[in-house]
Amino acid sequence: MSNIFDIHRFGKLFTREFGRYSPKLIGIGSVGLGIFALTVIYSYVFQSSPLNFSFVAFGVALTVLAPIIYHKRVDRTNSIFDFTLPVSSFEKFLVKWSFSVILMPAFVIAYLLLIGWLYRLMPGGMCVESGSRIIDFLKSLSFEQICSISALQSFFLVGSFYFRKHVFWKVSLSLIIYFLLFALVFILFHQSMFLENHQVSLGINFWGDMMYSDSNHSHTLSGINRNLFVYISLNLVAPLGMWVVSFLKLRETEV
Amino acid sequence: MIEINNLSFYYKKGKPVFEQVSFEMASGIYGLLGENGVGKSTLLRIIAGLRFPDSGQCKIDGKDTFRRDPETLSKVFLLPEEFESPTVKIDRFIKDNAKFYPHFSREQFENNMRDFEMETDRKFSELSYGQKKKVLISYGMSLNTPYVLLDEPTNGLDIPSKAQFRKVIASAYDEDRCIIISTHQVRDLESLIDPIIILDRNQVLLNNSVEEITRKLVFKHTQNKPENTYYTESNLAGYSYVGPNLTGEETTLNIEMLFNAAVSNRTTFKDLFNV
Repeated sequence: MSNIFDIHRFGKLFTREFGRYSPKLIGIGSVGLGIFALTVIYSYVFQSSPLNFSFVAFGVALTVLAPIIYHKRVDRTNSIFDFTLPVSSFEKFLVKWSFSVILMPAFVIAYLLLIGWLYRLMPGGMCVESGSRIIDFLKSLSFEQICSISALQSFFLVGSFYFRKHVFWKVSLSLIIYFLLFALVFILFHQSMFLENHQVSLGINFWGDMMYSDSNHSHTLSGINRNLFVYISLNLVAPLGMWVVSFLKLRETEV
Repeated sequence: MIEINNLSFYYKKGKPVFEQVSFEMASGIYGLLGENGVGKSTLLRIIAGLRFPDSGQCKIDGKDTFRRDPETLSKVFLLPEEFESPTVKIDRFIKDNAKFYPHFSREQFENNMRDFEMETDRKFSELSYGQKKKVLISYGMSLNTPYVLLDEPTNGLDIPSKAQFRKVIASAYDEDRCIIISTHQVRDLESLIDPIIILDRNQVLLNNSVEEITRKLVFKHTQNKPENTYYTESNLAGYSYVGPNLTGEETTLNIEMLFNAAVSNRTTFKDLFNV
C-alpha cells in the first residue's frame, strides 16, 4: 500500500469528510431555499423582479455564512484526530482540494440551476423571466469561466491553511490586493515596453477580460482564451501555486 | 520500537524542551513522569507525529514520525489531555475513524464501553469530560495499535472509573504492545506501570523497569529518622524513605517516592541507572 496515495484510503477519507461536511451543505442549502422563498414573496408583494432582492439577500447570507463555510480552526485541541488519522498528507490535501475547488463551485452551480428552475415554475412573469435569466447565465458559462471560479476557490483554500480566523474576509482582501498589484504590474510593463510617456488606464473583470486605454487608443482584450497572459496567470499559475503552497502548509503544520 | 536519538525540541530558541535526548521504548506499560512543563505531552506529540523535532530523530519501527506516513500513523493512537471532542454521535465517530485502523475490534470497543458503563448511542456533546475520556480510551484500546500514547488518562475520571481504566488497560495489554501513560496521578496507576521514565529539564533521569529499580533501591518505612537515603518523608507512622539497596532486599516500589528521590538526586540517579 502506497504511503503517498491509495485509492481505498482516499475513498474512506472522502466519505468521512463528506459525512462531516454534509450537514453544513444541507444548512447552507436550506438557507438558500429560504432566501429563494423570500425573493418570490418580495416579487409578488412589490411587483418587481425577485433578482433585485436576491442580490441583497444573498449578499447578507454570504456575509453571515462565509465565515462558517471557510472557518476551520486548527489548533492543539481540535485537530488531533485529523492529524493522527492514518492517511497521507497528500490524501488529506486532495480531499480538501476536491471540496474547495470542485464540490463548492459545483454546489453553487447546482443551486443556481435549481432556483432557476424553481423560478420558472412560479406563476407570474417576473419570476419566470428571472428563472430564464439564471438558466441563460448558466448556459452561457464557458468551461474557462467555470475553471476561473475553481481558480478563485484556490485562494480560499490556501487562506484556510494560513489564516486561523476570518478566512473569508482576509482572503477577499488579499484577492483585491492581488488584482490591484496585477493591474499595476501590467500598467508598468505596458508603459515601459510600448507606450513610454503615455498614460494608461486599465480595468480587469472577474473572467479575465482586460480593458485598457492610453492617450491614443482604447482596447479590450476580451475572453480569457484570447488573452493568454491573463489566462495563464489567473487560471493556471496562481491556482497551481496555491495548491502547492496549501499542500506544503498542511504537511508542515504542527499541532 | 520507539527510538529517540539526540532529540532536541524548542518552542522558543534558547529554551529547549529537550536537548540531545536519547532513549528507547519497546514493549510494556510505560509510566512517563515529570514535573509540570518538562515536556511529557510534547514528547507524546512528537512520537505521534504532531510535532517535529528541531534536530535528532524520533522513529517508530525505524520510520521518522514527523513524516506522518499512513503506515506509521496506523500503529499509533494518541489520547491527548486536552481535546475538543467531535460533535457527532459516538457510533458515527467510531464508524468514521476506526475503518482506518486494520486491527480495530468492534467487540472489544463494546466490551470496554461496558466496563466503563457507557452507552454507544449518545452524542459526544451530551457527555462530561470524564465520559468523553472513557469513550476515547475504549476506542483507543480497541484499535489494537502497537503503540498507545495516553496523556493524563485518569484526569477527570471518577474513583470507580479509575479501577475500570486499570482493568481496560490490563486486558488490552499484550507483550508486543507499548503503552505510554503520561501522568501525575501515579497512585492511580502504581500497580499497572512498568517500566518507568522520569523526564526532567531537557533530559531523561531514569528509564528502567520496576525490577531494575527495586534491585538498586529500597522503599521502606521506619520509626526513626533514617540516614544515607536519597529521599525521606515524615508521616504519621514515622518515616518513609528511598535508599540504596545494599543487601539485595526486595521492597515494593512507591512511584511517588521514587520520583521525589530522582528529582532531588539528579546526578546520582543518572549515574545509578546509566542514563
